Amino acid sequence: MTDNTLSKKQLSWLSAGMFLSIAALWLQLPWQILICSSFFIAWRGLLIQKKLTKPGKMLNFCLLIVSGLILATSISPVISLQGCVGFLVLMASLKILESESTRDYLLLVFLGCLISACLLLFSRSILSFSYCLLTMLILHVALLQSFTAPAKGSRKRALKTTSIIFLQALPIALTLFVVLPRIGSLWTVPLNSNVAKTGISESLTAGDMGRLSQDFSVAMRVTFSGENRPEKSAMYWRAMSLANFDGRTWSRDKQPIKLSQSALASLRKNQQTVTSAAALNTQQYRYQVMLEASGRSWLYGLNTAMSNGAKLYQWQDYSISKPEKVLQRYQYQLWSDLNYIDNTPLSEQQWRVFTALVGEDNSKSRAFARQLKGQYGSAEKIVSALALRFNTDFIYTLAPGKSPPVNPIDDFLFTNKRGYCEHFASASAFVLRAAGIPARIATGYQGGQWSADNKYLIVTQAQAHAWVEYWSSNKGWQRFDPTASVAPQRIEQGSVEVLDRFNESLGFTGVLRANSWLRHLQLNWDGLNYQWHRWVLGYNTQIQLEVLKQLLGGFDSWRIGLLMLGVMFMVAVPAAVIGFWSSNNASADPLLTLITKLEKKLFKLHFVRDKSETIKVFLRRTAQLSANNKQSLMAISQRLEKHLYGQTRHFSVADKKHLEQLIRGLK
Amino acid sequence: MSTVRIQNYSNVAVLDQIEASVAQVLLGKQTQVKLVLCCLLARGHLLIEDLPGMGKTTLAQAIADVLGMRYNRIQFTSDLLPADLLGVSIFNRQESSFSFHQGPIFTQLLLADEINRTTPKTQSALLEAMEEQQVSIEGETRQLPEPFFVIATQNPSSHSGTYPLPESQLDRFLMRIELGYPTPEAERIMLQRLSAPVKRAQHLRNKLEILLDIEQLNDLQRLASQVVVSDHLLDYVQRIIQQTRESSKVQYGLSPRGAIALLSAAKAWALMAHRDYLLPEDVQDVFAAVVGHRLTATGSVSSAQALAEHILSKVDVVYK
Repeated sequence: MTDNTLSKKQLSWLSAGMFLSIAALWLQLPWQILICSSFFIAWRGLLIQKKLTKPGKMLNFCLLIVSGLILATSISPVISLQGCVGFLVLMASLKILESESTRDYLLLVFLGCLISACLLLFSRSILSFSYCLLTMLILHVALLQSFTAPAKGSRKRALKTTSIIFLQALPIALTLFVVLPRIGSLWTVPLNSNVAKTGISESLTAGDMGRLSQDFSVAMRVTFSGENRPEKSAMYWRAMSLANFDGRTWSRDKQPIKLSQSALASLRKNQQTVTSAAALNTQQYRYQVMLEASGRSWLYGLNTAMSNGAKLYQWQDYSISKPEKVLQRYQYQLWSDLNYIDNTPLSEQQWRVFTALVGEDNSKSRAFARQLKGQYGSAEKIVSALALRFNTDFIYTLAPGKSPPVNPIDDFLFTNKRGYCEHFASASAFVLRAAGIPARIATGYQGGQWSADNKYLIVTQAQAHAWVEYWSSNKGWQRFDPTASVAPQRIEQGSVEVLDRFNESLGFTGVLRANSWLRHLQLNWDGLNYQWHRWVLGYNTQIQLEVLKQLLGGFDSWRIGLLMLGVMFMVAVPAAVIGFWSSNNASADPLLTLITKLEKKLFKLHFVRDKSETIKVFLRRTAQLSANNKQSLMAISQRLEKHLYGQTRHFSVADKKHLEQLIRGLK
Repeated sequence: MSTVRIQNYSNVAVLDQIEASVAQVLLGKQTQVKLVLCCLLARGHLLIEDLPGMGKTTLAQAIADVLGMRYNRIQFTSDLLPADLLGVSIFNRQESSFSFHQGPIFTQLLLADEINRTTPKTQSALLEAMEEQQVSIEGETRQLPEPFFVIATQNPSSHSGTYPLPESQLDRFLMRIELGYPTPEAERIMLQRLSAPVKRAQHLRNKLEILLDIEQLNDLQRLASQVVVSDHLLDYVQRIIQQTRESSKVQYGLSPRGAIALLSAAKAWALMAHRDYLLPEDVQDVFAAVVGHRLTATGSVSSAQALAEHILSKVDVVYK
């Protein structure tokens, strides 16, 4: 550009791009900052329309102070991710207001790109990413505006050109993404980490699970490796066991004990023998779990599960946890053997813990337990008697009514006979303990929904579940799910379907679930998100090596270099062919080709024809500004006019040569 | 331009004289005077739209004087009837027959003053005559004289007591021009002249000598129609027309009649520049006057001039 002033068009594009990139942060930044920067951008808009004047030096300084104050008061602490982004946004919007030269303009375009990328610090979903791309597109149109003649082309054309550039860059960007080494973060910023997620907690009171039953947000997604998948009814995603009971609430051991080395070794040994035998039909599964941020540290797996990751804790009750809380989506690999038995006898102390019942309440239930013990003796028989009892006249419902403060188990077992999974589990565990059988509650999720493409399993919060584990002297800890007796469909189909049958109203979420089309859409969207997280966000060095190996057969540098060259070739050759073809095509009219040549030449000399300007007017204007070309410009003008519009239609080779010579002579 | 290839015609130079002569009366309005002549050369009728007292009538009279045409002026009022315009048959007692008394329309140059003050019935009688160059009265068709040139004036239709011409009738006028206020310099000279003892402006107008006879005018009109139009230029004109039809700022695009009008007016304009071929500049110069009253703007564009400029700015002169 010859002059340093910015055109209206450039500024409009820039303002639009900046506005989009800043607007994206509306959830992240306090409203004061957004209003402040919108104000500056609007000011610029009015400047473009000449409705306001530029702020003077003094006012500029005041604006700076005011925005600094706004920043300091609206974000605390100021030195945080939010604070830094807010600072960037405010300063960039101030810069918009005062930008004048092409230099400022370029700086702002780059600042805009940086701000739009800031969105990804807060959210990494597909939507955010797409939005970020859109903003970048607009900003690149703005960038393009400063390198092309301002009068050329409409808005649509500018967008089209930039889109083509983007599309050309796409394969190269993708390849770079695939092959560039995944370097860990060079610096970290304090990300927002107080995400409190409800979900399964470390204790269980009647009503806890019922509260989750209408929360259809995803808890985790599971991909099984290989074709071998368990039945839905066997999918108990166990988090932990709750051994302590205070009469109302079941809770976890305060100081859990780690799984002993010997038990771990035998579990591992079991795994190794099976892998070597490659027996697929056994109840052994290898799977990958992508856990949503839960705010807790434990992980979910099919019992008995073992993790290959060295950094995870394996506890004595075979639950697995992470050293720190899961604050972001977390992926882990597990191996599970559903038939694994650990019948190491319980110690004295353990026996005491697992049969402990405080107080003397719920006397009817205790009497009932003693009666069962007398009648059946062994644990297995007592359990099946309990299941039979539940199966006869109990009702599985979300709204069992409030349980009384005293003797809640008596009330459930003999009076109300209505409850959700935790009522059944709690009552069963109580009865078993009262009968002298070690018992505990296990919590987690049950079942899941296969994704639209049937490739992975989606487990939602609504699938939260509680069941009972009891000790059998020769089989070790055994699972007993009383819900399976009262409402077997809950286990086979899922809680919602069962509640539907029991005519429970689920309100709007129910309607949403009932509409299969919406359901399908939701599943597809979930699938897309899952792939996004798996392949883009979760693309780590390990996956990268696997992909490269599959793609190139190795990861030597020459292979990667070859791939890069290939992709460049793929992009460059079609572009060159199209360019060559279109330039050939345009040469249909030699006069127009000549004019194009002339315009290109003059463009280099910083003269641009407005499209509605006639050749004559344009050349006359040019001649006035460039005195040494005056003669030849006038000659060109006359000749072109004669050939374009006059009666001398014939355009001979000599004429063409002469004109070309004149054009070449322009300086 | 010096590239004149019109042989045997000193007449073209007469056009410059006419321009200069009329410009003496109507000060500071050279462009408008040129447009009026251009309209005449293109055999079209002219509509002048402006506020009262801007010199519409003065211009029309001066043109009539200079061309030595028979000249009639009708002041249109709301009670004017078609018969007042076209004429009536009156029974002649001596000859025991009807004899036709020609109305004021039977003239070469008709100044229809304030055409939008009269009823649609009378308006359409005039407009029919303009289109057909003949009038039908009591079953008899009567030819109007040759040439027949109408200069109609109208007040901006927002003024009270007007019957705005519908688009279909506006289309009959080749051009619509506005005079606008004079420049301060021109106004100064005008006021000085008026303060002189006699009404000198009137005096001056009467003194205009006849510069062109009917035959010469015919020749010039023929010459204008023979101006060469190259393919490149036709492409440009077509692009403009296409733009009027595609633009979101125009309600309905230009009709084929409008397209023909644009080209013939541009050709006359080229002739006035002593050129026997058409340039894009000619088209651009006459564009606003020719299409301004044929297009209805939608949305934000306020004046016809602005709309015309907007359309031209969207069309590339050279490339598709």
